[in-house]
Amino acid sequence: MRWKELPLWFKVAAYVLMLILAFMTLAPFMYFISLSLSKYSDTYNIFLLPKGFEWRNYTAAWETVNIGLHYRNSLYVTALALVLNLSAGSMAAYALARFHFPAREPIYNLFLAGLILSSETMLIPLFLNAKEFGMLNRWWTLPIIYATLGLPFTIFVLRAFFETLPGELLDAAAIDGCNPLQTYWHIMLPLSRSSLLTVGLFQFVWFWDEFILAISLITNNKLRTLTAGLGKLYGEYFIDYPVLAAALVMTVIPVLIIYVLTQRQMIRGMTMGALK
Amino acid sequence: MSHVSAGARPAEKASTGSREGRLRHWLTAYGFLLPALLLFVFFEFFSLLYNVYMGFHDWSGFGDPRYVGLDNYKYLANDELFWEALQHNVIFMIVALGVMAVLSLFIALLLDSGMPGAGIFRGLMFLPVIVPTVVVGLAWTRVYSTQGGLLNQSLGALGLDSWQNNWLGNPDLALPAVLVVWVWRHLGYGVVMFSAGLLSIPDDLKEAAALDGASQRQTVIHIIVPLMRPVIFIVALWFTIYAFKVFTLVFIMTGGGPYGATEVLNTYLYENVFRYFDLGLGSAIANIGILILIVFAAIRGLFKPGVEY
Repeated sequence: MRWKELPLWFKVAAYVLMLILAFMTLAPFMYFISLSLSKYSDTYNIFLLPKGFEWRNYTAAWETVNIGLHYRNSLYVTALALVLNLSAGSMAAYALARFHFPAREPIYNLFLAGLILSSETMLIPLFLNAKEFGMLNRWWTLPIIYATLGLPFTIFVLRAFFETLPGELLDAAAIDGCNPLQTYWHIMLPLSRSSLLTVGLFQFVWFWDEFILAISLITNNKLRTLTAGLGKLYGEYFIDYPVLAAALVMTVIPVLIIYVLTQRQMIRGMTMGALK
Repeated sequence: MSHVSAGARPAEKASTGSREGRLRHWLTAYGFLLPALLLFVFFEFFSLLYNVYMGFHDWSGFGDPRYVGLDNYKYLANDELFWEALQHNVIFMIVALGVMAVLSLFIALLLDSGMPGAGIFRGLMFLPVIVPTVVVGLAWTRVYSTQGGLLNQSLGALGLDSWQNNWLGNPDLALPAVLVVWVWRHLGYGVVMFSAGLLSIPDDLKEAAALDGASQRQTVIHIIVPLMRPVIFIVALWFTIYAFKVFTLVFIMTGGGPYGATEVLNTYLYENVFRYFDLGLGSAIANIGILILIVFAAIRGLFKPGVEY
């Protein structure tokens, strides 16, 4: 379509549609920000703008319902899962892209098949295995499982990238006396910084979002991540909406900041997710 | 990938060397693969086998699983709730393909046309995609709430009191209400996917059609859509997978209720496991879900469009 040559009625209709969609996109955000800044007594008649600024809701959410604790848990689970996922994934991708060895393609296809599995469908075996091997309520359980479930995508994207690197580079490294580990560390990884970032952002959004495993494998509230903490909180006793709203706003903020800073890369990661 | 490719030429000279050198080369490769392979085989591959195995058993989590053959599947075949849940997943899929995909393609076309403000709209539309599902669910539950929720409040303020409703508590409205939120969350994904696809169509192709005197509608239908086929295929597959994966949103907003009106495969699975402790039945449900996705992935494989996007 070429905008300039479209008939006027169409342009008007298009703007009306886009404005409605933009409003629908923004309204829940605005509503929740207003709610998070409102007095409890105003809860029932808040629209899109706040009545006053009750910052206390934020401190209340942080302290009394332990959002601070869940925050730390989430940051830590996400960070650990990312490190594990990107290191194991990039090493495997390096081997699959740059080495010739028996069963290379079958192994690659095995990883690829993993793209179809999701945390929901794997819930029962993961739960039973975790129980069997004493992994329930351990601080390292979620990072390991998230990292593993994310491996197929990481390997898929990084292998494709590693294959594009010119072979001369690796030859030169070998002549300089680099062993494969040094080549991986000093050449492959620095060159793939941008791909690692893209994949990392994609995984970050997913790790931060994950819910079903977070509530099933971790039942100790002290170890719960943000999404699990919020879900439980709401289900059990929580009805102080302004405080809940403050907690939700705080949950979204890290993703939002990262989105604003890395919009391009993040969208690229998401569209690459479709290659699956 | 922006890098200039010199081809994936085998840089690994060692592989052509002596036998010993080749063995070393192999071992190095397996060494690099080891961490990922161990994690993957233990947590995914064995898990999947375990799931298949458990689907043939009856187990409450205590004692030993009892082999029951196909009983779990036979039970599900006659289980009304299961069919209802499956039907709801199919409704999600129909909405995904019929509403979400079509709407997002149309929006992507608009934004690609040079519409002023397109960048802002695109950035906005993607926003819900990154918000954690739990947050989306909790926020919208409040929007739909009968106790001062935004929707009923706004209807009241507009003088439409008679339209106010118990959106999530009414069995006729709960599923549509959840579907609206689901579309809200995923629409932007379709938009950025199609936008990326449109960018890959050369401008001269679009121009050429204009010189031929083709109308804008004809250009879209006869040139752009066919060229976009690979992307359309991928988005369709992706939305289908989303439709069968849906869990968190329903779990948070309605828990599958009222009276099973929003039950989907995964909420039903979750209930069977954590409420009725029927692990065999839960596994059978999961296996059916996986099987459905395998079929869709296979269909995609069969009709794999020439262009990998």
